[in-house]
Amino acid sequence: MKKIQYITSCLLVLLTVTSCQDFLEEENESFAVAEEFYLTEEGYQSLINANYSQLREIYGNEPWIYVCGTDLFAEGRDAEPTGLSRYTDLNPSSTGIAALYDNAYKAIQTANTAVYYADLTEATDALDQQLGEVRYLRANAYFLLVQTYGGVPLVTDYFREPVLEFSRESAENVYSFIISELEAALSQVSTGAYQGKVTQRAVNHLLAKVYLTRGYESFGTSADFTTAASYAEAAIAGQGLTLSFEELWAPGNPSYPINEETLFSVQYDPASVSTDPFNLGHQQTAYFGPYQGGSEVAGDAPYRTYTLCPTQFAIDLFTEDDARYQATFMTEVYARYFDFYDVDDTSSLAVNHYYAPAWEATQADQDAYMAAHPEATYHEYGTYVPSANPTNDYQTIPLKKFDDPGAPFGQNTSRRDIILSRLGETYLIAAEAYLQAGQPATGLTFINEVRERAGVDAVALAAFDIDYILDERGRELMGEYHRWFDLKRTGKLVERASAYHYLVQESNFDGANGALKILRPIPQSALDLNQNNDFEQNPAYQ
Amino acid sequence: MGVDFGLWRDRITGSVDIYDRLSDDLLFTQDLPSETGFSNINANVASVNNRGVELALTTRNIQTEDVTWTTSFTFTKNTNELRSIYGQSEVDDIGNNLFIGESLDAIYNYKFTGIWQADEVAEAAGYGMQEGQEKLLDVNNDGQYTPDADRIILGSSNPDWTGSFFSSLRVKNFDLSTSVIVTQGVLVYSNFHSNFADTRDRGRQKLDIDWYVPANDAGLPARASNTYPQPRNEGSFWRNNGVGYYKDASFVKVQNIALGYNLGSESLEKLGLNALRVYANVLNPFVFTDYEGYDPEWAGASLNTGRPSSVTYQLGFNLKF
Repeated sequence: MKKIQYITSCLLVLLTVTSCQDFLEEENESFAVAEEFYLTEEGYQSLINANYSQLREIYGNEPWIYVCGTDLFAEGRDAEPTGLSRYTDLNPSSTGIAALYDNAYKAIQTANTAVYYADLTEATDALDQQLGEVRYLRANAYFLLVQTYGGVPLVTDYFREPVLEFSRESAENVYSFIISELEAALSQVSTGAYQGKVTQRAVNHLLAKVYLTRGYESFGTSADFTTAASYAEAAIAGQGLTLSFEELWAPGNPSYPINEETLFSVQYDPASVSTDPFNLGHQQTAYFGPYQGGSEVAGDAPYRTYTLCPTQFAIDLFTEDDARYQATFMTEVYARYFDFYDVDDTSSLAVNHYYAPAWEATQADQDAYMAAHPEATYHEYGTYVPSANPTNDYQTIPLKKFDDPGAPFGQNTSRRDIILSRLGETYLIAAEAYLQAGQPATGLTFINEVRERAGVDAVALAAFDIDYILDERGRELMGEYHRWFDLKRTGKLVERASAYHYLVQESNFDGANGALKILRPIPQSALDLNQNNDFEQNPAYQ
Repeated sequence: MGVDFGLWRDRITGSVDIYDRLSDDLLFTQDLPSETGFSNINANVASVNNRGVELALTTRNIQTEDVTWTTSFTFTKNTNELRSIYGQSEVDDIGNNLFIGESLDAIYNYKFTGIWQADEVAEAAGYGMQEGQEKLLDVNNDGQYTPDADRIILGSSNPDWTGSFFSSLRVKNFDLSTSVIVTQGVLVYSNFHSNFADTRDRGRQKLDIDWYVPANDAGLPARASNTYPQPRNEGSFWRNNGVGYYKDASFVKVQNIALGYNLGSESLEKLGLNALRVYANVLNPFVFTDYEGYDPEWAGASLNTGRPSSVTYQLGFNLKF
């Protein structure tokens, strides 16, 4: 009886409480329909965020298509995808061809969705700026596509039903689209400092690069170089290169600030990957050097695949007085690799590996070093390169620029931003643009700013040519995801890759129809799904 | 259309079914073109024709007081043919493996024909290939391997026919039964071979295969082979298109043989039992096949499921009080 009374009183309480309407109304967030969600401010913001996160798909995984098969990097003990690294069996089904194509179009469709909903969503103060950011991101995806594959389908529609046929657009029209979008975005995006969102300086930087690249194309004009130079100057906005090169790349433990020279990057940080730190980070750290051990060195040294190892040519780009040499390579590896970052006074630390530079190539140098560090393995100059057929760990020199000492041990764990545009490169774009526009003396001042920061002598006008710029870009931007595009843009890919990559010969580039394998093939997976049978493969692969 | 029949007082019974059916709006997970930015959708995309015949025949061969022997045969042949996709019947959808006029289970790829030999170096070079790499059928004979012209329908993972045989023999108190299944004319991409014959993968044991060894200074005797390329020198068709791993997985499989003895009624009474049967049974005793992998019945399955079928021996008795 007592129990029944108790239940009754409970019911009474419940009835009184539930009479409050708000309490009863449920909002089923997980069933929100895109059509409605994107109309709200919050929903549209999430769509913008989704656009930014596409960058992680494009840049966060294997960087083969950006840097493989160039003058600077070659495979060490582990194999790189042979099509991309050697060009001989580069064909539409080769490993690593399709990822960029697929990911760029995913990003483009996400952007198209945001552009479509911009007309429908709740009008907010941020909307115009958000639209500008999306246009930049979409233009960037198209820029990657047109450089890599040539003219590609120009897709600007938001698809609500399947489309099965696509046709190639001319490269010229793709460039026109990119430029018109970026120039429109210029007045929409923030004029403030870079804090993760697209800024006006980032747009200026990309515009400079797009104009510069178009200038070399058959449909480009010399006016493109002049325009590129003025956009580069706008991006520089009078800012000097004041950070030291070591500071520029210091990991900045425990947080990962964007420094003042960063114009645009793919955003990462420990918090954003914390739900799955072994998979949500990126891979930039996992290349550019030797295998340094497996899980037994977790916490002491980074995981690295034995691929994209700096070539002899890459190492020889540097002179002794170039501060970028020490800031780029880990020339002296302590017993615990990360002690370089974690220990303030490293003078008494034991050394495991020492990579002797060109300026310490004598027996006397070696004897002197070994007397001071008898425990070290001494890698003589000229031996720590991929062409020496490394078999042991640590047999090529590690690149340290991208190190993330606090990251968990693994391939997808780096939590630093992937820098896409930074001021040093903007200076080099300006230098190249002025050189190609017939104003080498002006260009010279920009390249010499970069050299001055590195502590090396100014280059003289007589020595200042496109090869010099490519060498300087090699020194300044080693490992950043530009190299294949740089060589392709300047028409130096065949020459430089075959001269300095030990697995590449000039004949490797010979493709079908007398064409060279410079543009990548359209991925067979994309051709096979496209119902348009007249969609042409690039000539070298037909 | 079907016929059931019984002859000679049902000593022979059986059925024949013949069908020819067109199904529209086949539901399919359709991969979408890369350019759409979407991966796939579920859509009603295709119309498919299924034609086939199913036969069943049971005969009581011997039927006496001491001996009965019954055998059954079944035979099934089905061919499916894609008639149209997306409301048209002109353009194939290669990416979704949908080919007008072909089976839904069609296998479309380059045809592997052997290995480029030492005396074929010049010809191989024309195809961008080297000695020791895979040789493919140049369908249109234009001197190069091109995806549009040289990939063909190699076969189908839908078998030409399947059948079964069941026999049950009783001689006095003994009984002997066996069942056999047959699958013929089935082409599969053999995950077994792509794992255990892939010399690029250092992670696991390999089949003892006769890979190609060119003349060399390393002291290895040269070995001409037309089945497996030179390790670490496979071309991209071998590595990326998997042209070397298509196998015929036709087989005849004895699924079980059982021998039993039923105790006679007199002995049962003595023991106070209603029934006692003692039997020996063996499952999967024999497989007749040219397929080298694990179980040919599961040759096309992933390695996680397509494991060896074990032979099982059972001894037992059934007791009824």
